[in-house]
Amino acid sequence: VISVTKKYVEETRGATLNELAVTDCEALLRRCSVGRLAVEVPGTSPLVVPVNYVMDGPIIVFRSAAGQKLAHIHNRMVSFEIDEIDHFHRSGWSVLVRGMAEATVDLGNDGTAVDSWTNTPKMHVVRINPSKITGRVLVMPPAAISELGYL
Amino acid sequence: MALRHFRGEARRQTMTFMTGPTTLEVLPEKQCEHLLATHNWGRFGAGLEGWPAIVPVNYGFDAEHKNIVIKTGPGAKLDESPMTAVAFEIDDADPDGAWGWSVLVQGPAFDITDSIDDTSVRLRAIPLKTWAPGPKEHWIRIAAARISGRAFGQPLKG
Repeated sequence: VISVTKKYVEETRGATLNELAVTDCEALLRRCSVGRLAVEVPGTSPLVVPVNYVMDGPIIVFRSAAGQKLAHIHNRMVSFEIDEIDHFHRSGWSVLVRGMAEATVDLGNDGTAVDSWTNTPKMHVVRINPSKITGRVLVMPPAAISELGYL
Repeated sequence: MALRHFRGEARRQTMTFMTGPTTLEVLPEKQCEHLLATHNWGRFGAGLEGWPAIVPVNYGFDAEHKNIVIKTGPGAKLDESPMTAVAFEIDDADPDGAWGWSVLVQGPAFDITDSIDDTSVRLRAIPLKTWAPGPKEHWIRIAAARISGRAFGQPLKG
């Protein structure tokens, strides 16, 4: 993750919000394991929840139990977001993936192993096929870091 | 990175072995509000350009009347989210997966930049520092119609 965002730091001499290249967004997607899913719920606010995920090539894969998230996801346009924020340096990056979601019941033959952190039985496998990937990185100038005498 | 992941995985498996797998529990609303009051950035979710987008933002929380306020510049957030139902989320998790929590706020968004009612005036007085550059002259209020949260692993402190 550091190596991916490092070059943006070196290119920057002021607090700026830079666009991440799509290839860098994809590299970040492969390195993380928790993201946030946004699903539109008709007539009310979107649902935004963290999920454990893996990449299967370009496809985002996660598991889900039956519920509100699953009810509104199949064949819908959804968003998936990963980010990392550095509080001390007040910097960070985020990647937003938009794509079509497809939910299937896991019949035990799904080769993709998603390592979920909770023990809720998750019988459904959801795949998001990205159609648009964007990312931004926020970088503070080096002076703002050394000002207080910290390393 | 690989070594760190390996260590984390080994530790997590040991913990799972010792304590059993972790169960997702519903957080009481009071605890959700406490978490909202003690953090300063989260993720704004809204239907933008036909998609449910998620963007990280700094925010302020009005605990008394349950409002989230964010500041923004011109763009999709300002053009499309006011007068629609939006979401706001904060979360945190142990990198090894031993614990985690998330809080979701759902409700309507309003552009309160020029509003002269008492609530808007009060909300605009909330000190709110944004980390991203660029002018953010506009205030958006999210009225929390629903606050929900979930957690697993060690109980949250405070």
